[in-house]
Amino acid sequence: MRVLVVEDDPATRDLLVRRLEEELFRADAVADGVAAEARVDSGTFDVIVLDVVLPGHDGFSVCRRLRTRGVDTPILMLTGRQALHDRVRGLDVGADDFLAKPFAFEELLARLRALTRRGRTRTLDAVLRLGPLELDQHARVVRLNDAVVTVTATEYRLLEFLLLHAETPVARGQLAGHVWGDRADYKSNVIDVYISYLRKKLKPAGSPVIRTVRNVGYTLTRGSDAP
Amino acid sequence: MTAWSDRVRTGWRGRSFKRAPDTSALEDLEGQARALRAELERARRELQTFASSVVHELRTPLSALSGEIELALLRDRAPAAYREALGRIADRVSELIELTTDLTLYGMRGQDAPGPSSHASLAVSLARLAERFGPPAMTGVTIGTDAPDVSIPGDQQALTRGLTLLVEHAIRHRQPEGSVRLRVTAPDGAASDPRAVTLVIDTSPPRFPGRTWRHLEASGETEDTVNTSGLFRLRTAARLLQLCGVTLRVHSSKESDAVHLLLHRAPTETGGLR
Repeated sequence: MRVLVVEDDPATRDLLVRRLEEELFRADAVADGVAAEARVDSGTFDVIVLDVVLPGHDGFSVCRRLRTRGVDTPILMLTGRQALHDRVRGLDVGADDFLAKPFAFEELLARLRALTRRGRTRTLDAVLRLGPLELDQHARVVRLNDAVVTVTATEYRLLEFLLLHAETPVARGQLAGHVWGDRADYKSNVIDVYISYLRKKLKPAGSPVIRTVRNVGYTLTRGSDAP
Repeated sequence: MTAWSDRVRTGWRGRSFKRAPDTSALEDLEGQARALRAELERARRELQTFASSVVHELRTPLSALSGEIELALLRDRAPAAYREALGRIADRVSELIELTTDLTLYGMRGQDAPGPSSHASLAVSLARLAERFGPPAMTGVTIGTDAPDVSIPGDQQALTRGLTLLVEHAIRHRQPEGSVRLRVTAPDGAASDPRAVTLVIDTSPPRFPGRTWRHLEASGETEDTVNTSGLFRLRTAARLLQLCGVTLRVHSSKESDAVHLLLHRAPTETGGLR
Protein backbone atom coordinates (compact mmCIF):
# COMPACT_ATOMS: atom_id res chain seq x y z
CA MET A 1 0.00 0.00 0.00
CA ARG A 2 1.46 3.34 -1.01
CA VAL A 3 1.19 6.23 1.42
CA LEU A 4 2.06 9.91 1.01
CA VAL A 5 3.02 11.60 4.29
CA VAL A 6 2.73 15.40 4.40
CA GLU A 7 4.38 16.58 7.62
CA ASP A 8 6.66 19.56 8.14
CA ASP A 9 8.35 18.43 11.35
CA PRO A 10 11.42 16.49 10.17
CA ALA A 11 11.54 14.15 13.16
CA THR A 12 7.87 13.22 12.90
CA ARG A 13 8.10 12.82 9.14
CA ASP A 14 11.11 10.55 9.39
CA LEU A 15 9.49 8.48 12.14
CA LEU A 16 6.26 8.01 10.20
CA VAL A 17 8.13 6.85 7.11
CA ARG A 18 10.29 4.41 9.06
CA ARG A 19 7.33 3.02 10.92
CA LEU A 20 5.19 2.64 7.82
CA GLU A 21 8.02 0.97 5.90
CA GLU A 22 8.48 -1.42 8.79
CA GLU A 23 4.81 -2.34 8.45
CA LEU A 24 5.44 -3.02 4.74
CA PHE A 25 3.79 0.12 3.47
CA ARG A 26 5.60 2.05 0.72
CA ALA A 27 5.88 5.59 2.10
CA ASP A 28 6.78 8.84 0.36
CA ALA A 29 7.13 12.01 2.42
CA VAL A 30 7.05 15.74 1.75
CA ALA A 31 7.25 18.77 4.03
CA ASP A 32 4.60 21.15 2.70
CA GLY A 33 1.42 21.43 0.67
CA VAL A 34 3.01 22.59 -2.57
CA ALA A 35 5.32 19.58 -2.65
CA ALA A 36 2.37 17.35 -1.75
CA GLU A 37 0.33 18.51 -4.72
CA ALA A 38 3.29 18.02 -7.03
CA ARG A 39 3.88 14.51 -5.69
CA VAL A 40 0.22 13.56 -6.08
CA ASP A 41 0.42 14.77 -9.69
CA SER A 42 3.41 12.56 -10.38
CA GLY A 43 2.36 9.40 -8.56
CA THR A 44 -0.56 7.27 -7.40
CA PHE A 45 -1.19 6.80 -3.73
CA ASP A 46 -3.61 4.61 -1.84
CA VAL A 47 -3.89 7.04 1.05
CA ILE A 48 -2.53 10.44 2.14
CA VAL A 49 -1.56 11.32 5.72
CA LEU A 50 -1.80 15.10 5.96
CA ASP A 51 -0.78 17.26 8.93
CA VAL A 52 -2.99 20.26 9.63
CA VAL A 53 -0.17 22.62 10.59
CA LEU A 54 2.11 23.21 7.61
CA PRO A 55 4.24 26.10 6.38
CA GLY A 56 2.80 28.27 3.64
CA HIS A 57 -0.65 26.74 3.26
CA ASP A 58 -2.23 24.77 6.07
CA GLY A 59 -3.49 21.21 5.73
CA PHE A 60 -7.12 22.30 5.32
CA SER A 61 -6.20 24.37 2.24
CA VAL A 62 -4.17 21.51 0.79
CA CYS A 63 -7.04 19.06 1.31
CA ARG A 64 -9.55 21.40 -0.26
CA ARG A 65 -7.32 22.01 -3.28
CA LEU A 66 -6.73 18.30 -3.82
CA ARG A 67 -10.46 17.61 -3.73
CA THR A 68 -11.19 20.53 -6.06
CA ARG A 69 -8.75 19.05 -8.55
CA GLY A 70 -10.56 15.72 -8.45
CA VAL A 71 -8.10 13.78 -6.30
CA ASP A 72 -10.23 11.21 -4.51
CA THR A 73 -7.43 9.43 -2.64
CA PRO A 74 -8.48 8.88 0.99
CA ILE A 75 -6.99 11.54 3.28
CA LEU A 76 -6.32 11.14 6.99
CA MET A 77 -5.50 14.42 8.74
CA LEU A 78 -3.22 14.71 11.76
CA THR A 79 -3.69 17.50 14.26
CA GLY A 80 -1.98 18.58 17.44
CA ARG A 81 -5.22 20.08 18.72
CA GLN A 82 -8.33 18.39 20.03
CA ALA A 83 -10.71 21.13 18.94
CA LEU A 84 -14.01 19.87 17.60
CA HIS A 85 -14.19 22.61 14.99
CA ASP A 86 -10.88 21.35 13.54
CA ARG A 87 -12.43 17.95 12.94
CA VAL A 88 -15.58 19.46 11.49
CA ARG A 89 -13.57 21.75 9.25
CA GLY A 90 -11.38 18.88 8.11
CA LEU A 91 -14.35 16.74 7.19
CA ASP A 92 -15.97 19.69 5.44
CA VAL A 93 -12.94 20.26 3.20
CA GLY A 94 -12.90 16.62 2.19
CA ALA A 95 -10.78 14.70 4.68
CA ASP A 96 -11.92 11.15 5.35
CA ASP A 97 -10.61 10.77 8.87
CA PHE A 98 -8.88 12.63 11.70
CA LEU A 99 -6.29 11.62 14.26
CA ALA A 100 -4.99 13.76 17.13
CA LYS A 101 -1.36 13.75 18.21
CA PRO A 102 0.05 12.01 20.10
CA PHE A 103 -1.47 8.85 18.70
CA ALA A 104 -0.80 5.15 19.03
CA PHE A 105 0.73 3.99 15.80
CA GLU A 106 -1.46 0.90 15.80
CA GLU A 107 -4.45 3.20 15.60
CA LEU A 108 -2.93 5.05 12.64
CA LEU A 109 -2.35 1.75 10.86
CA ALA A 110 -5.89 0.55 11.55
CA ARG A 111 -7.36 3.79 10.26
CA LEU A 112 -5.21 3.66 7.11
CA ARG A 113 -6.37 0.11 6.44
CA ALA A 114 -9.97 1.09 7.05
CA LEU A 115 -9.68 4.00 4.62
CA THR A 116 -8.28 1.83 1.87
CA ARG A 117 -10.96 -0.82 2.45
CA ARG A 118 -13.87 1.56 1.89
CA GLY A 119 -15.64 0.77 -1.35
CA ARG A 120 -14.16 -2.72 -1.57
CA THR A 121 -17.08 -4.86 -0.47
CA ARG A 122 -15.25 -8.14 -0.54
CA THR A 123 -13.23 -7.26 2.53
CA LEU A 124 -14.87 -6.77 5.89
CA ASP A 125 -11.80 -6.86 8.08
CA ALA A 126 -8.04 -6.63 7.75
CA VAL A 127 -7.88 -9.87 5.72
CA LEU A 128 -7.82 -9.81 1.92
CA ARG A 129 -9.19 -13.01 0.40
CA LEU A 130 -9.41 -14.60 -2.99
CA GLY A 131 -10.50 -18.22 -2.95
CA PRO A 132 -8.23 -20.19 -0.60
CA LEU A 133 -5.66 -17.38 -0.52
CA GLU A 134 -5.70 -15.01 2.47
CA LEU A 135 -3.49 -12.04 3.29
CA ASP A 136 -3.83 -10.72 6.82
CA GLN A 137 -2.83 -7.07 6.72
CA HIS A 138 -2.78 -6.80 10.51
CA ALA A 139 -0.62 -9.82 11.22
CA ARG A 140 1.25 -9.54 7.88
CA VAL A 141 0.70 -13.21 7.23
CA VAL A 142 -0.19 -15.01 4.00
CA ARG A 143 -2.16 -18.26 4.11
CA LEU A 144 -3.08 -20.67 1.36
CA ASN A 145 -5.63 -23.35 2.24
CA ASP A 146 -5.15 -22.34 5.90
CA ALA A 147 -1.44 -23.07 5.76
CA VAL A 148 0.99 -20.20 6.29
CA VAL A 149 3.03 -19.32 3.21
CA THR A 150 6.42 -17.77 3.84
CA VAL A 151 6.93 -14.64 1.75
CA THR A 152 9.56 -11.91 1.71
CA ALA A 153 8.65 -8.28 2.33
CA THR A 154 8.72 -7.51 -1.39
CA GLU A 155 6.58 -10.55 -2.24
CA TYR A 156 4.13 -9.49 0.48
CA ARG A 157 3.78 -5.97 -0.96
CA LEU A 158 3.39 -7.34 -4.46
CA LEU A 159 0.77 -9.88 -3.44
CA GLU A 160 -1.11 -7.32 -1.33
CA PHE A 161 -1.36 -4.95 -4.28
CA LEU A 162 -2.51 -7.71 -6.62
CA LEU A 163 -5.14 -8.81 -4.08
CA LEU A 164 -6.37 -5.25 -3.61
CA HIS A 165 -6.94 -5.15 -7.38
CA ALA A 166 -7.94 -8.78 -7.80
CA GLU A 167 -9.66 -9.72 -11.07
CA THR A 168 -8.51 -6.48 -12.72
CA PRO A 169 -5.35 -5.95 -14.80
CA VAL A 170 -2.61 -4.02 -13.07
CA ALA A 171 -0.03 -2.18 -15.16
CA ARG A 172 3.64 -2.91 -14.64
CA GLY A 173 4.25 0.74 -13.84
CA GLN A 174 1.62 0.67 -11.10
CA LEU A 175 3.12 -2.45 -9.60
CA ALA A 176 6.62 -1.05 -9.71
CA GLY A 177 5.59 2.25 -8.18
CA HIS A 178 3.68 0.67 -5.34
CA VAL A 179 6.21 -1.97 -4.45
CA TRP A 180 9.52 -0.28 -5.16
CA GLY A 181 8.59 3.39 -5.13
CA ASP A 182 9.41 6.24 -7.52
CA ARG A 183 12.88 4.92 -8.20
CA ALA A 184 11.51 1.72 -9.77
CA ASP A 185 12.03 0.97 -13.43
CA TYR A 186 8.88 -0.78 -14.58
CA LYS A 187 10.68 -2.12 -17.65
CA SER A 188 13.14 -3.97 -15.46
CA ASN A 189 12.71 -7.73 -15.19
CA VAL A 190 12.77 -7.50 -11.38
CA ILE A 191 8.97 -7.45 -11.46
CA ASP A 192 8.92 -10.62 -13.55
CA VAL A 193 11.34 -12.32 -11.20
CA TYR A 194 9.15 -11.63 -8.17
CA ILE A 195 6.02 -12.62 -10.05
CA SER A 196 7.66 -15.95 -10.79
CA TYR A 197 8.53 -16.37 -7.09
CA LEU A 198 4.88 -15.78 -6.18
CA ARG A 199 3.63 -18.13 -8.88
CA LYS A 200 5.76 -20.92 -7.42
CA LYS A 201 4.24 -20.28 -3.99
CA LEU A 202 0.70 -20.30 -5.39
CA LYS A 203 1.14 -23.67 -7.11
CA PRO A 204 -1.32 -25.86 -5.12
CA ALA A 205 -4.49 -26.75 -7.02
CA GLY A 206 -7.31 -24.30 -6.68
CA SER A 207 -4.97 -21.43 -5.81
CA PRO A 208 -5.48 -18.03 -7.39
CA VAL A 209 -3.42 -17.53 -10.48
CA ILE A 210 -1.30 -14.58 -11.54
CA ARG A 211 -2.01 -14.16 -15.23
CA THR A 212 0.07 -12.09 -17.60
CA VAL A 213 -2.00 -9.48 -19.43
CA ARG A 214 -0.20 -8.77 -22.68
CA ASN A 215 1.02 -5.20 -23.12
CA VAL A 216 -0.43 -4.29 -19.72
CA GLY A 217 0.91 -6.20 -16.78
CA TYR A 218 -0.62 -8.81 -14.52
CA THR A 219 -3.86 -9.77 -12.89
CA LEU A 220 -4.64 -12.04 -9.97
CA THR A 221 -7.67 -14.23 -10.64
CA ARG A 222 -9.34 -17.24 -9.11
CA GLY A 223 -7.84 -20.56 -10.16
CA SER A 224 -9.50 -22.50 -13.04
CA ASP A 225 -10.75 -25.23 -10.71
CA ALA A 226 -11.72 -22.87 -7.95
CA PRO A 227 -15.36 -23.13 -6.74
CA MET B 1 -45.39 68.52 59.33
CA THR B 2 -46.03 71.12 56.70
CA ALA B 3 -49.09 70.47 54.55
CA TRP B 4 -48.59 69.65 50.95
CA SER B 5 -50.25 72.85 49.84
CA ASP B 6 -47.89 74.84 52.04
CA ARG B 7 -44.88 73.12 50.41
CA VAL B 8 -46.03 74.03 46.96
CA ARG B 9 -46.74 77.61 47.99
CA THR B 10 -43.33 78.05 49.55
CA GLY B 11 -41.52 76.39 46.61
CA TRP B 12 -40.22 73.52 48.71
CA ARG B 13 -38.17 71.19 46.54
CA GLY B 14 -37.36 68.29 48.77
CA ARG B 15 -35.70 65.13 47.72
CA SER B 16 -38.36 64.11 45.21
CA PHE B 17 -37.14 66.72 42.76
CA LYS B 18 -33.85 65.84 40.95
CA ARG B 19 -31.86 67.31 38.15
CA ALA B 20 -31.97 65.56 34.75
CA PRO B 21 -28.88 63.21 34.30
CA ASP B 22 -25.96 64.26 32.10
CA THR B 23 -26.34 61.82 29.09
CA SER B 24 -22.98 62.73 27.55
CA ALA B 25 -21.17 61.24 30.52
CA LEU B 26 -23.20 58.05 30.16
CA GLU B 27 -22.35 57.86 26.49
CA ASP B 28 -18.68 58.25 27.32
CA LEU B 29 -18.90 55.46 29.83
CA GLU B 30 -20.68 53.27 27.33
CA GLY B 31 -17.98 53.91 24.74
CA GLN B 32 -15.26 53.06 27.24
CA ALA B 33 -17.05 49.88 28.23
CA ARG B 34 -17.35 48.83 24.58
CA ALA B 35 -13.67 49.53 23.99
CA LEU B 36 -12.72 47.54 27.08
CA ARG B 37 -14.89 44.65 25.98
CA ALA B 38 -13.26 44.67 22.53
CA GLU B 39 -9.82 44.73 24.14
CA LEU B 40 -10.80 41.88 26.43
CA GLU B 41 -12.06 39.86 23.49
CA ARG B 42 -8.84 40.52 21.57
CA ALA B 43 -6.78 39.43 24.57
CA ARG B 44 -8.91 36.31 24.96
CA ARG B 45 -8.41 35.38 21.28
CA GLU B 46 -4.67 36.01 21.55
CA LEU B 47 -4.48 33.81 24.62
CA GLN B 48 -6.46 31.09 22.89
CA THR B 49 -4.17 31.26 19.87
CA PHE B 50 -1.09 31.19 22.06
CA ALA B 51 -2.43 28.18 23.94
CA SER B 52 -3.25 26.39 20.67
CA SER B 53 0.20 27.09 19.30
CA VAL B 54 1.93 25.93 22.47
CA VAL B 55 -0.16 22.77 22.54
CA HIS B 56 0.86 22.01 18.97
CA GLU B 57 4.52 22.73 19.72
CA LEU B 58 4.39 20.41 22.73
CA ARG B 59 2.45 17.61 21.10
CA THR B 60 4.69 17.39 18.05
CA PRO B 61 7.92 16.35 19.81
CA LEU B 62 5.93 14.38 22.41
CA SER B 63 4.29 12.44 19.62
CA ALA B 64 7.64 11.80 17.97
CA LEU B 65 9.11 10.77 21.33
CA SER B 66 6.28 8.35 21.99
CA GLY B 67 6.58 6.95 18.47
CA GLU B 68 10.33 6.38 18.73
CA ILE B 69 9.95 4.50 22.00
CA GLU B 70 7.07 2.45 20.58
CA LEU B 71 9.11 1.61 17.49
CA ALA B 72 12.18 0.65 19.53
CA LEU B 73 10.11 -1.72 21.68
CA LEU B 74 8.15 -3.19 18.78
CA ARG B 75 10.52 -6.10 18.21
CA ASP B 76 14.01 -7.26 19.14
CA ARG B 77 16.70 -5.21 17.47
CA ALA B 78 20.46 -5.05 17.24
CA PRO B 79 22.27 -2.95 19.88
CA ALA B 80 23.28 -0.41 17.26
CA ALA B 81 19.61 0.11 16.35
CA TYR B 82 18.75 0.71 20.01
CA ARG B 83 21.58 3.23 20.30
CA GLU B 84 20.30 5.09 17.25
CA ALA B 85 16.81 5.10 18.69
CA LEU B 86 18.10 6.44 22.01
CA GLY B 87 19.93 9.18 20.13
CA ARG B 88 16.73 10.25 18.40
CA ILE B 89 14.84 10.11 21.69
CA ALA B 90 17.50 12.32 23.28
CA ASP B 91 17.06 14.83 20.45
CA ARG B 92 13.31 14.98 21.03
CA VAL B 93 13.86 15.50 24.76
CA SER B 94 16.26 18.37 23.97
CA GLU B 95 13.57 19.96 21.81
CA LEU B 96 11.12 19.77 24.69
CA ILE B 97 13.62 21.32 27.07
CA GLU B 98 14.24 24.16 24.62
CA LEU B 99 10.51 24.69 24.38
CA THR B 100 10.17 25.02 28.14
CA THR B 101 13.04 27.55 28.10
CA ASP B 102 11.22 29.51 25.40
CA LEU B 103 8.06 29.50 27.48
CA THR B 104 10.02 30.81 30.46
CA LEU B 105 11.60 33.58 28.40
CA TYR B 106 8.22 34.30 26.85
CA GLY B 107 6.88 34.88 30.32
CA MET B 108 9.39 37.68 30.80
CA ARG B 109 7.15 39.87 28.68
CA GLY B 110 5.24 42.28 30.84
CA GLN B 111 7.74 42.09 33.63
CA ASP B 112 9.89 45.06 34.53
CA ALA B 113 12.32 46.02 31.78
CA PRO B 114 15.92 44.95 32.38
CA GLY B 115 17.77 47.36 34.63
CA PRO B 116 20.56 49.61 33.46
CA SER B 117 23.13 46.98 34.38
CA SER B 118 21.57 44.35 32.10
CA HIS B 119 23.30 44.31 28.73
CA ALA B 120 23.62 41.79 25.97
CA SER B 121 26.68 41.52 23.76
CA LEU B 122 25.85 41.18 20.08
CA ALA B 123 29.21 39.52 19.40
CA VAL B 124 28.58 36.86 22.02
CA SER B 125 25.16 36.05 20.56
CA LEU B 126 26.50 35.85 17.01
CA ALA B 127 29.36 33.60 18.09
CA ARG B 128 26.88 31.22 19.71
CA LEU B 129 24.76 31.19 16.57
CA ALA B 130 27.79 30.45 14.39
CA GLU B 131 28.68 27.52 16.63
CA ARG B 132 25.13 26.19 16.63
CA PHE B 133 24.56 26.34 12.88
CA GLY B 134 27.97 25.12 11.78
CA PRO B 135 30.06 25.96 8.71
CA PRO B 136 28.20 27.60 5.80
CA ALA B 137 29.66 25.14 3.28
CA MET B 138 27.82 22.31 5.02
CA THR B 139 24.61 23.97 6.13
CA GLY B 140 24.07 26.86 3.73
CA VAL B 141 23.71 29.13 6.77
CA THR B 142 26.09 32.09 7.10
CA ILE B 143 26.30 33.95 10.39
CA GLY B 144 28.21 37.21 10.07
CA THR B 145 30.44 37.25 13.09
CA ASP B 146 32.28 40.34 11.92
CA ALA B 147 29.61 42.62 13.38
CA PRO B 148 30.85 45.41 15.68
CA ASP B 149 30.97 44.31 19.28
CA VAL B 150 28.17 46.40 20.67
CA SER B 151 26.11 46.09 23.79
CA ILE B 152 22.39 46.49 23.74
CA PRO B 153 20.08 46.72 26.73
CA GLY B 154 18.57 43.36 27.47
CA ASP B 155 19.07 39.78 28.51
CA GLN B 156 21.84 37.85 26.74
CA GLN B 157 19.81 34.64 26.65
CA ALA B 158 16.79 36.45 25.22
CA LEU B 159 18.86 38.08 22.47
CA THR B 160 20.62 34.84 21.51
CA ARG B 161 17.46 32.77 21.59
CA GLY B 162 15.48 35.36 19.64
CA LEU B 163 18.08 35.47 16.86
CA THR B 164 18.35 31.66 16.87
CA LEU B 165 14.60 31.24 16.43
CA LEU B 166 14.58 33.66 13.50
CA VAL B 167 17.44 31.86 11.75
CA GLU B 168 15.78 28.48 12.35
CA HIS B 169 12.57 29.83 10.89
CA ALA B 170 14.48 31.07 7.85
CA ILE B 171 16.06 27.63 7.39
CA ARG B 172 12.67 25.93 7.46
CA HIS B 173 11.34 28.33 4.85
CA ARG B 174 14.12 28.24 2.30
CA GLN B 175 14.20 26.12 -0.84
CA PRO B 176 16.11 22.86 -0.31
CA GLU B 177 19.31 24.20 -1.90
CA GLY B 178 18.77 27.76 -0.71
CA SER B 179 20.81 29.79 1.74
CA VAL B 180 20.23 31.76 4.90
CA ARG B 181 22.41 34.71 5.81
CA LEU B 182 22.58 36.82 8.93
CA ARG B 183 24.75 39.88 8.40
CA VAL B 184 25.28 43.45 9.48
CA THR B 185 24.14 45.89 6.87
CA ALA B 186 24.38 49.60 6.32
CA PRO B 187 21.42 51.37 7.90
CA ASP B 188 18.69 52.87 5.69
CA GLY B 189 19.65 56.36 4.63
CA ALA B 190 16.72 58.38 5.92
CA ALA B 191 16.11 56.21 8.94
CA SER B 192 19.74 55.85 9.96
CA ASP B 193 20.38 56.15 13.62
CA PRO B 194 23.99 56.44 14.73
CA ARG B 195 23.04 54.62 17.91
CA ALA B 196 21.67 51.62 16.02
CA VAL B 197 23.11 48.55 14.35
CA THR B 198 21.11 46.80 11.63
CA LEU B 199 21.15 43.05 11.16
CA VAL B 200 19.51 41.33 8.22
CA ILE B 201 18.38 37.72 8.05
CA ASP B 202 17.49 36.72 4.53
CA THR B 203 16.26 33.50 2.93
CA SER B 204 17.18 32.94 -0.68
CA PRO B 205 15.33 31.64 -2.53
CA PRO B 206 12.34 31.39 -0.20
CA ARG B 207 10.04 28.38 -0.32
CA PHE B 208 6.95 30.62 -0.16
CA PRO B 209 7.97 34.00 -1.59
CA GLY B 210 6.51 36.89 0.36
CA ARG B 211 5.20 34.61 3.12
CA THR B 212 8.31 33.70 5.08
CA TRP B 213 7.97 36.42 7.69
CA ARG B 214 4.33 37.35 7.25
CA HIS B 215 3.35 36.51 10.82
CA LEU B 216 6.18 38.47 12.36
CA GLU B 217 4.46 41.80 12.06
CA ALA B 218 0.81 40.72 11.73
CA SER B 219 -1.59 40.97 14.57
CA GLY B 220 -5.09 39.64 14.93
CA GLU B 221 -5.15 35.89 14.61
CA THR B 222 -7.37 33.94 12.29
CA GLU B 223 -7.83 30.21 11.92
CA ASP B 224 -5.32 30.22 9.08
CA THR B 225 -2.56 31.82 11.15
CA VAL B 226 -3.06 29.37 14.00
CA ASN B 227 -2.40 26.50 11.62
CA THR B 228 0.81 27.97 10.24
CA SER B 229 3.88 26.01 11.11
CA GLY B 230 6.38 27.88 13.28
CA LEU B 231 3.96 30.58 14.39
CA PHE B 232 4.72 30.12 18.08
CA ARG B 233 8.48 30.20 17.52
CA LEU B 234 8.21 33.30 15.36
CA ARG B 235 6.10 35.16 17.88
CA THR B 236 8.42 34.05 20.67
CA ALA B 237 11.40 35.41 18.73
CA ALA B 238 9.62 38.73 18.25
CA ARG B 239 8.78 38.99 21.97
CA LEU B 240 12.29 38.09 23.08
CA LEU B 241 13.85 40.66 20.78
CA GLN B 242 11.33 43.27 21.88
CA LEU B 243 12.64 42.76 25.42
CA CYS B 244 16.00 43.87 24.07
CA GLY B 245 14.48 46.89 22.40
CA VAL B 246 14.99 45.47 18.90
CA THR B 247 12.76 46.73 16.10
CA LEU B 248 11.80 44.35 13.29
CA ARG B 249 10.89 45.16 9.69
CA VAL B 250 10.10 42.72 6.89
CA HIS B 251 11.31 43.13 3.30
CA SER B 252 10.33 40.78 0.48
CA SER B 253 11.44 40.47 -3.12
CA LYS B 254 11.29 37.75 -5.74
CA GLU B 255 14.78 36.60 -4.86
CA SER B 256 14.65 36.66 -1.11
CA ASP B 257 12.53 37.25 1.96
CA ALA B 258 14.34 39.21 4.64
CA VAL B 259 13.78 40.64 8.08
CA HIS B 260 15.72 43.70 9.23
CA LEU B 261 16.53 44.05 12.91
CA LEU B 262 17.36 47.43 14.34
CA LEU B 263 19.39 47.08 17.52
CA HIS B 264 19.86 50.14 19.70
CA ARG B 265 23.18 50.44 21.43
CA ALA B 266 23.16 50.84 25.17
CA PRO B 267 24.41 54.17 26.50
CA THR B 268 27.37 54.24 28.88
CA GLU B 269 27.34 55.94 32.25
CA THR B 270 29.26 58.83 30.72
CA GLY B 271 26.71 59.27 27.92
CA GLY B 272 28.65 57.50 25.15
CA LEU B 273 27.63 54.28 23.41
CA ARG B 274 28.69 50.72 24.27
